[in-house]
Amino acid sequence: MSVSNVTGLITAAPFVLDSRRPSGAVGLVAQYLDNVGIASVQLRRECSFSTFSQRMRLVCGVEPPLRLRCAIGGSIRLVAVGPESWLAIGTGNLFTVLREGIAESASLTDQSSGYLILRLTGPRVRETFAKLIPIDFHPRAFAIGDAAATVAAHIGVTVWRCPDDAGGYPTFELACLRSFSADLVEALRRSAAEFSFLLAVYPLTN
Amino acid sequence: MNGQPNRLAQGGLINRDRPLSFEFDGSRYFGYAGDTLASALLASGRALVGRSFKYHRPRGIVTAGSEEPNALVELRQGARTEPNTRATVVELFEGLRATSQNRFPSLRWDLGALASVVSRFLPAGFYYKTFMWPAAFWEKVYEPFIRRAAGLGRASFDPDPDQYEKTHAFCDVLIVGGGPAGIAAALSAARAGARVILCDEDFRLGGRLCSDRRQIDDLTGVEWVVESENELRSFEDVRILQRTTVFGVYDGATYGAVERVSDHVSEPAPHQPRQRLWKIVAERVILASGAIERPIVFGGNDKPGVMLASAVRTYLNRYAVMPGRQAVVFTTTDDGWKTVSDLHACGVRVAAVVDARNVVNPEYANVVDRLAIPIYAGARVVDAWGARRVQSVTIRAADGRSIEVGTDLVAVSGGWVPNIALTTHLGTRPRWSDRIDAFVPGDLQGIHRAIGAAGAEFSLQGALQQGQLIGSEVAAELGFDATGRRARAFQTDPENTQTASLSVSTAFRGKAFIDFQNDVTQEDIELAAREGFRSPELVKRYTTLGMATDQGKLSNLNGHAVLAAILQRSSAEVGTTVFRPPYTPVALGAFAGAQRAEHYRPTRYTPGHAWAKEQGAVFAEAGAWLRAQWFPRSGESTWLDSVNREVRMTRGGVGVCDVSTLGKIEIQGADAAAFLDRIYINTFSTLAPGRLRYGVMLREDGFVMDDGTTAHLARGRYVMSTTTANAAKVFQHLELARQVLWPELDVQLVSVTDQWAQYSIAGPRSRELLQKILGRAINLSNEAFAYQACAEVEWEGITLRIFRVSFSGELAYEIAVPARFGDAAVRILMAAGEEFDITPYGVESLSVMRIEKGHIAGNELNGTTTATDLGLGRMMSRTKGFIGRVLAGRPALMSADRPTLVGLKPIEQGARLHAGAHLLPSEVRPSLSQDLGYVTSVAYSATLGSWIGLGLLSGGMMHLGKRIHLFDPLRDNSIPVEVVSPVHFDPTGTRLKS
Repeated sequence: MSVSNVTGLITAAPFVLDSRRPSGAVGLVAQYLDNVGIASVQLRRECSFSTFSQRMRLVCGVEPPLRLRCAIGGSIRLVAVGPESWLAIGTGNLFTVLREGIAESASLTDQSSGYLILRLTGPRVRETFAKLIPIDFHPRAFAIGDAAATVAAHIGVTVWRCPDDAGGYPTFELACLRSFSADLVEALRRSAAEFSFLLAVYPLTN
Repeated sequence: MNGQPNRLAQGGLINRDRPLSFEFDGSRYFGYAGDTLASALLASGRALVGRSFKYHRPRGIVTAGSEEPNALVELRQGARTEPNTRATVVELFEGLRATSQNRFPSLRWDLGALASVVSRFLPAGFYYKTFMWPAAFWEKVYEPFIRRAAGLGRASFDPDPDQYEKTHAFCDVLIVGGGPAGIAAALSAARAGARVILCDEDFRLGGRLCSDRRQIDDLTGVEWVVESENELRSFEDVRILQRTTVFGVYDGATYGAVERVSDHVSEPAPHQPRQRLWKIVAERVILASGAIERPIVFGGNDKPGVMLASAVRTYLNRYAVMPGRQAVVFTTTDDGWKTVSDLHACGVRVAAVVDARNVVNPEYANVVDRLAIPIYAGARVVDAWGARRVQSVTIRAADGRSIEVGTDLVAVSGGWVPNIALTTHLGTRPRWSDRIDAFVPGDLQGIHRAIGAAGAEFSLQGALQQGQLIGSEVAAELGFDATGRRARAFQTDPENTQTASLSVSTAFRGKAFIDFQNDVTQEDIELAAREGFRSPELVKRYTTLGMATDQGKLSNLNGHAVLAAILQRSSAEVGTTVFRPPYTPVALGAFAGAQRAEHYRPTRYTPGHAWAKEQGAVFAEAGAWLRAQWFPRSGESTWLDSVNREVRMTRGGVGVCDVSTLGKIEIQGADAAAFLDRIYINTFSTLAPGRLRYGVMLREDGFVMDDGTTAHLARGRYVMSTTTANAAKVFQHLELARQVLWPELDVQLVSVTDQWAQYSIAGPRSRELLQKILGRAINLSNEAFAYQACAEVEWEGITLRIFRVSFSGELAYEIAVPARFGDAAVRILMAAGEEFDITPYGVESLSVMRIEKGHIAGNELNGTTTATDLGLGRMMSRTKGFIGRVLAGRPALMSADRPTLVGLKPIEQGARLHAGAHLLPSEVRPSLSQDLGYVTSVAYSATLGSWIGLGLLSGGMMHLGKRIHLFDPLRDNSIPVEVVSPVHFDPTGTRLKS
């Protein structure tokens, strides 16, 4: 008996929502990260940050950021979510890789099914955020590499800013607990409807 | 001109290429794009637009802005009906339908006008002295009558078909008001590089520049506005919000504004909201909200045709409308004279100019002499006369003569009053200025500067220069470089701003109104003072002055001036009332935004939700979650049938239940075990890997907070389960303990509730089912995997977790799979379980089974019970410290007669128990003094063929076997019950450990 790799993502509306306006311009593109591995990483008391940081650089190629920042390298994202606490995001085998590399210095918990990670980009991404999230996303206030724990439509989210995409549009990634996925996607769809909105898959590769 | 006798042939900022038609009170009228409902009605010659609230006096349009007190209409129809909309701010659109309010059967012939006839019996506060006798009349006669008479306008009771939106905005400088001062400030700040938001409630920028014919350098006022707006729109970091009222100043540098996105069209465009609420966070706020003209108090000053002089200019210049044909201008200011010249320039006959000042500016006198317009200096209008429109006025000249002048338009100019409502929202009081005879802002809080007319600078040149200066100053304060540009001088056409205060007079014969909307007269103020209500706040509440939807914009100053005169004190001493948000009414829909109906708050779905929905499950809300309550099958007619069947099949075979919603917290670290010992009342450091244990945790005050099981998965790694309702609370509790109470412990906590889909598989055939699916991955025999064992299992490349734990009292397991396989997992279980006659079961059945087994749940963990109350006292360790230990030992919590957990069974077979019913000794009259406790949980047990319950009974199990009474005061019934063990079914637990 085998298990099919069903994502189990609940959506309130058809799976891919496309409300492109006749002109073809899409204001907001939302992609959910597929083949994603997620882990909670929390520094253990007896380990120093510098040792842990060295190990992380060896294993993931990025240095764990501090305070309201994220570090992005290849497919890896390390987001600071609390004191000595990070969310690590990468491809599907991330948890195993981390467990082998840093298990002595940090407590690890597999969260690969625990979060929905959405990648959001497009010319109207900031205006869409403004309708849902009460923080300032102006480039002066939220630079590439900044991160925040906040709410979007009353749903707790962690959001961080990635390098701009190929079109030069500001790009963000956003994590929310899986059980809120349907409502969050619906809130994004509703807020971006006036700009036109596209939901698709973003397959992560190493 | 298409039924618009008062429309001027030329001029105005209306678009004559776009004629519109609309309906008012069932009659068809015409106007143009750029009109308001008020300007179009005036153009059609309509003066009468409403009836006043109390006396039902005929009323007309007084102003041209949002301060309008009289022209309140009911707009639109059906579900979009809007009462009390000010016609002066309604943008005309094709097909608009409006009706007047507060009149029956029609505006012209209103029965309510009888109230005017008996008005001397209806002064302010008359209701405090009436409606008292006879006492019996209150409920049947007076209250229904008052309820019908009170309130203005009617609301639609249909659901609102429109969408509303809320959005956030951040800026360096928020400028409230897009008139000359505001625009000049916005330009300065924007040029310095600041992020600017400019808000104006109107649909055009420009403020008074749209209403007066002014020159700024070599441009007209309107041209300057257009040029400035274009420049502002060229900046990336400038946002101009039109049709947007900043309605409130709040703590935390937060400002509320409402944007009327689609009020000016018959239906919002696709994906557009009707209105949008803005929550603006701004570093600096500049108030450029202008000033409101002050009416003058005289007899009959509320008659249609009596208007503010500045509003008359707005109608002439902006809307190309003559509000009348034969005007009298009554002024105490130089500003009023502008109306004289504008009226004349538009061909309206000025029958008289009444200037209350003794000396008239010779400039004006000369002009007016040439035009043969009679001037009365040092004079006052004392009465206006007319039925449904003003027809004449009585003027008292300086020498005491009375002169009657025929007129259909009385333009009144009592001076400008800075519009400073927003400066008082955070509680600071305004201060009196003798120079302008009005109040100006006191200490500024929430607002950083007040400029232009809002700052008592009434000249255009002054407003422009001040705006320019303050915009740069404020930007510089925030670190922006404002030195780049040279300041502009701004040459404007000449103007005079002299004004004089007018003493309070009583020399009138008709009713002299102070507050038009609430029908408060000068006599009412005198009455209030006579009755001892001598402060502005008390006068306000006694007379209702300033309590209408216009918040006293036209009435406060006059009312408080009358009070000051009566008390023979200065206005500075008497003071004025302050304001609260919103500045003008805001639709509740805008505050709700998208959070309506089922979107009121977010919903959480379990990984098995889609499957459960396919099965036709009926769902219940458990906090934010949806949980399947039961799974109806064909042939079952009530929920009880379904629940009985689910319990029977589970206890007889195997059932599966989605328990993903229960909180799951992973606990790791070198000190994890020690941490658990301090959290739970029982010991966990002795729990071996591969085992789990039931635990209870207390609040600091010794009462039970939550219960659950914690499993020791592998060395140093635990997973704790909590109840669904307390998941977040427990996590916070643990985090507080970890971060604050014992930071020296090496403990790491993570919530994994969403990471794992969890299913309970219960019943005598549960082992067979799981063994069939998992095959060689794990040996589930009773020897290899005993009761309360746990394990992580690798199966088909996935890590699963299995716990042998049972809430139902059957042989049972819980299986946790990563949530992305949660949907597949339940389908596999159901498919494999077919041969075992598997049934899904929901929370109702879960509840029945746990009550049968006497397991406590939320009803018993109600925050007022201790571990001892619940029969778990022996779990409390005597050898270790844990949260709540000390206060749990308080005498009152250890008292022997505290209600403790018992089971209950009705004596009469088939009698129904209800939760919440009280327990009393047999055969006593029910009273609180006899109360022995209450029923916490009930269920119908098909297994036992009876209703059963759990409850808290004083003396508890000492009364085992006794007969007591269950009294339900809500349903007014009383039945005898027997006290039994809470474990109604399988008391020795043989099924559990098989």
